[in-house]
Amino acid sequence: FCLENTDPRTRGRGIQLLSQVLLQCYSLLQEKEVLHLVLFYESRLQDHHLVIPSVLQGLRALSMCEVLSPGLAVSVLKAIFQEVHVQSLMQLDRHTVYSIITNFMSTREEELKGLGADFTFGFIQVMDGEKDPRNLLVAFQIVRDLIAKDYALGPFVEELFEVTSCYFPVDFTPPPNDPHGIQREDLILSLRAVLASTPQFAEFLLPLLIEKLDSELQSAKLDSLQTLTACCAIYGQKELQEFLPSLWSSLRREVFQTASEKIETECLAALHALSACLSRSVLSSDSEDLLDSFLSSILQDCRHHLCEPDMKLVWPSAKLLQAAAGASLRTYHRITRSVLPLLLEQYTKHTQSSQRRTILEMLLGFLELQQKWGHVEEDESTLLSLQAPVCSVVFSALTDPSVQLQLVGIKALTVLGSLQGFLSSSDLELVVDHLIRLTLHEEDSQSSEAAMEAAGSLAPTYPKVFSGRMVPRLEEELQSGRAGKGESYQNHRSLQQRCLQALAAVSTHTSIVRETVPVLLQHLQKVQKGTEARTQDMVSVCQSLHRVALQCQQDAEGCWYFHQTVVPCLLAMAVQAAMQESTHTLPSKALLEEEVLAAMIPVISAATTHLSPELAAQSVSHVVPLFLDGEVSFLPQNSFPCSFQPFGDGECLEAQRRLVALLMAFVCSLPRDVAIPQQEWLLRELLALSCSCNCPFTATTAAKCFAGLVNKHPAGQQLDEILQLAVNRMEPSLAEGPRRTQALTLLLWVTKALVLRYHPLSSCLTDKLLGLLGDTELGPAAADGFSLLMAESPDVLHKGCHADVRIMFRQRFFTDNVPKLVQGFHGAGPDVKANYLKGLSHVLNHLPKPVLVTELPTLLSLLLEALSCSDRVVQLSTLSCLHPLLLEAPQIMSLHVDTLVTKFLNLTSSPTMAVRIAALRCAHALTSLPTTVLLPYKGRVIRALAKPLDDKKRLVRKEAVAARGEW
Amino acid sequence: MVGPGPGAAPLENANPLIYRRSGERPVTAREEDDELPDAIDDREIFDLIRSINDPEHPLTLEELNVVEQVRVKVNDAESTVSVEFTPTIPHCSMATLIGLSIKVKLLRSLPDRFKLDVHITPGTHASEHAVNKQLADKERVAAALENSHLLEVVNQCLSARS
Repeated sequence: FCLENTDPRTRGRGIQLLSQVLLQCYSLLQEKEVLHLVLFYESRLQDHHLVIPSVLQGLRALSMCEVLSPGLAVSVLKAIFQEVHVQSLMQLDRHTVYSIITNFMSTREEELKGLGADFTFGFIQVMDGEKDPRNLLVAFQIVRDLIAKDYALGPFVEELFEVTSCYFPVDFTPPPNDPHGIQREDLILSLRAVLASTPQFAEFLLPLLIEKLDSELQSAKLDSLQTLTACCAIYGQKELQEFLPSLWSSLRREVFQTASEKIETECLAALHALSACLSRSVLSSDSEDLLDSFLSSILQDCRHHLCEPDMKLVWPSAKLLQAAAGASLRTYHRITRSVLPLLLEQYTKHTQSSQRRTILEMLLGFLELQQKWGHVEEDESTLLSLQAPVCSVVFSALTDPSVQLQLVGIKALTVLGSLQGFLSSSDLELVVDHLIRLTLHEEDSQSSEAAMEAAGSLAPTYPKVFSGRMVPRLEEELQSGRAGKGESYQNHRSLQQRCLQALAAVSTHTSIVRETVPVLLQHLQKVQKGTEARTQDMVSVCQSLHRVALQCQQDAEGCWYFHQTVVPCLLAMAVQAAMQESTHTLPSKALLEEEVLAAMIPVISAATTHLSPELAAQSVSHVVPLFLDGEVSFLPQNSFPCSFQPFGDGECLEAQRRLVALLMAFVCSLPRDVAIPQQEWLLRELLALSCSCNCPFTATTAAKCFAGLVNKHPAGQQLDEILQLAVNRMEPSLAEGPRRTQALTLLLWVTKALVLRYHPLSSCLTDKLLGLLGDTELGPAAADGFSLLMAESPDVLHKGCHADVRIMFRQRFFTDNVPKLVQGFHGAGPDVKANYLKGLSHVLNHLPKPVLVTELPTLLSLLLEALSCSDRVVQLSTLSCLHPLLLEAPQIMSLHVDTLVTKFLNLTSSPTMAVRIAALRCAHALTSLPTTVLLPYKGRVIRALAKPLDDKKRLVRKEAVAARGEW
Repeated sequence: MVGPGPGAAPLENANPLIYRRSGERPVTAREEDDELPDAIDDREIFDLIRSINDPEHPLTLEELNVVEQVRVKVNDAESTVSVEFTPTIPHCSMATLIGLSIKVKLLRSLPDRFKLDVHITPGTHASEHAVNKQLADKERVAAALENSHLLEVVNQCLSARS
């Protein structure tokens, strides 16, 4: 019988078989059987060492039995601790021992605790000297459980600490091709969890951390700091007391001297955690106030550096103080009580604006911390007692001629304003006056923009002051008469610009929006009626309106108000202008110029996208009849000289047709579930317009509008019919005739609409497009069309206006069509080859980079060919495709290094600046290839790059310097 | 002409004055224009050397005011560049290394036609004359760059800040 054979190998095999069986069926065993087996296996532990692995396997199987009778777990473990020298076993068998212990710990916690400290000691012996990272992860987990589940550690705390801390700091590099995927980070985290799991380790751990912090090794420092931060979460002042002075001096030294930002950040985090920990324990104990003495030593070491705003140590000191102050309300008071008066005093003492700026920036840091605690408390706050001097310092910064100082002042103002109850009403008025002055009269645009931002962020807190004080002032400025010609005229215009921007910026609260929108609309009307209506002015009003629209999108009430007020007003103005033109054939009105209409599109679109479906339905029932039936009754001032029929025939209706742009902005932005009345009729009209209109603007807009609607149209017979109609209209015009371009535009937009929603017809349309690449006349336009298909379009067919956009449509388009493009390229005549390359490079350019990197190797030869193509658009886009590839897939690229080097160097002398720059960037990126590949080319490249160093363009020289320096 | 490596000795000047960095040069419409040539000017040379790291501080030469734009002179037509640099303290042992770094950076970044002259601002260093002589001596500069240890230190100064 095998199990009793005298040859240990045979015996081993027998036990192995038994263990394998048990592993399969341990859940079926009876209590009696288990008892028997356990006794057998325990006795086997004393057997020959060859047998031990199989015995352990068997015990592992048994340790998973639920019916194990009480007392057996303890006896198994005792036997293992006694009989087996674990660290002389193989990795796998050691792992088995750990599994047995883990299994018992999870099921027999009570029994193991009965063992008392012996269990801990036994385990310490088991894991002492463990080297394999896989086992260490398990062992660390066991230690963590030992501590977390409160097993008796007895006199073995230090031993347990020693046996784990000897791995700190973790120094482990996973071997290449490691199948277990254990990273250095896993070990670090799991060891840190052990070390920071109990305050009992503190007396051993803290000296170790300080020692590692003082070492030269960056990673050791980082790990120590992070562990310290983790420890602070559970330590109290008792543990820290003894080590505080040396901890502080190490932290201070690191922050003052380190070159690495990462270490600095971790030091500050550790200091923050330390202070937080101390302030927590102050609350619970009434012994000596450690926090106070700790903070005193910080203040003592840092405070005097704050008085030297030009010196290097000023910022590290300020950061240390801020880290400590941010820990708790208590530390904040303690530190600001000492620092704020000092800073205020220093501000008045130093007069140079650069020094003042540094001081104010530090002050700002402390004020921002106050924000964290929310409201200013009445009795305790030092800040409140310093209210007057703080305000006067900030105001003085606002009037300083230095722009940099002003900017910091404005930031400080924003923070002060956000502190509830800090600014008195008279101060608030002063603040608003300062903001108005900076917005309107400050020469530097940076300051005035910052002031507008500040006004925007403060307005929701104090809507009354802003609508009562700032809006009327801006309105007044806006309406003030024109002053003279020449320079003052220029000034007047820029002032008006500023007013418009400021009105938009400050509209961050519904009550203010109600004030500003009428002002803006009134101004638009005034500009339009004026004798010399200027396009640029109208565009800026529209930009301001757009900004307001974006700001009130989130607020349903404000959004509806905006929509209700602005959309009819803009439509009315546009319709009126169009009528005047069709009746009197006056010179074209500025309001109808493409630029102005294009600026109105985002306004209407932004005002529509966030409407609730009911309100949108209400609105759509007015707008669509306006365009189809000329139903003008809902427009303000609706007495028009003639009827509005944008889809009608007739030469004089050209101006009215352009307003399709506004219709598009509206209907294409509606939520998808809003039904559009008379949609079929509308679609037919749009289709006809897009194919027949001579004006490119109108035709394109109509095509876009059609595409936008088709994209949202629910699938079904109706959709198929309308699409069939579109295809029938397109085909003959595409083939020949005067309107080929219009037909191509329509084809492009419809294709885009269908590609986005994965409509089955899309592939047929793309094939048509691919066919056009071979057309000598339309080919280049069709190639550019690929960029339109892939890019995000700004006004229609994007997610923001509720279009049906499937994820990954670009990838899908890529996999479907690129093989056809490549095939087309190879079969094409020499004069149209470039079209295919151009189309290809457009597709590649818009593809997400990770996809690009995996797909490109197959296309690489084609891309290299594209580099020799003389079209500079193709060159440029190919270079921009290759650039990320060089950085991310150096292995594949090194195979072609010879061609790449030659081509790039040739392109550095291209006549186009953009190509030269891109080529130099690629040459720069070449340096990320393996050094051995590059070495043969080094001399040649460095010599060749000397030439662009003397390029006539500075931007080119800059890239050349960077590239050559890297080589 | 080798100074002590970084971290070997306590810093000679632990709390130096810090000067503000000037911003990136704004790109003008003229520079975007493909047709017009841009001449090499003082600012361009200054931009090349201002970001060089100091051998002992994690700061740039600009922040320590070792190089200033007013002390950079360029004549594009005659192809000459002259740079004066000011050590932070008169007995700074890093002066030669700083000078060498500036020189190497300019050698690598300027067309061959330029004649370089890098020297210490008069009256700001104890052994000004000796350092200037070392920097002006082409053979010594070339020999110094043969030294792989020294080259590594220089490259470290020139490497972009992480």
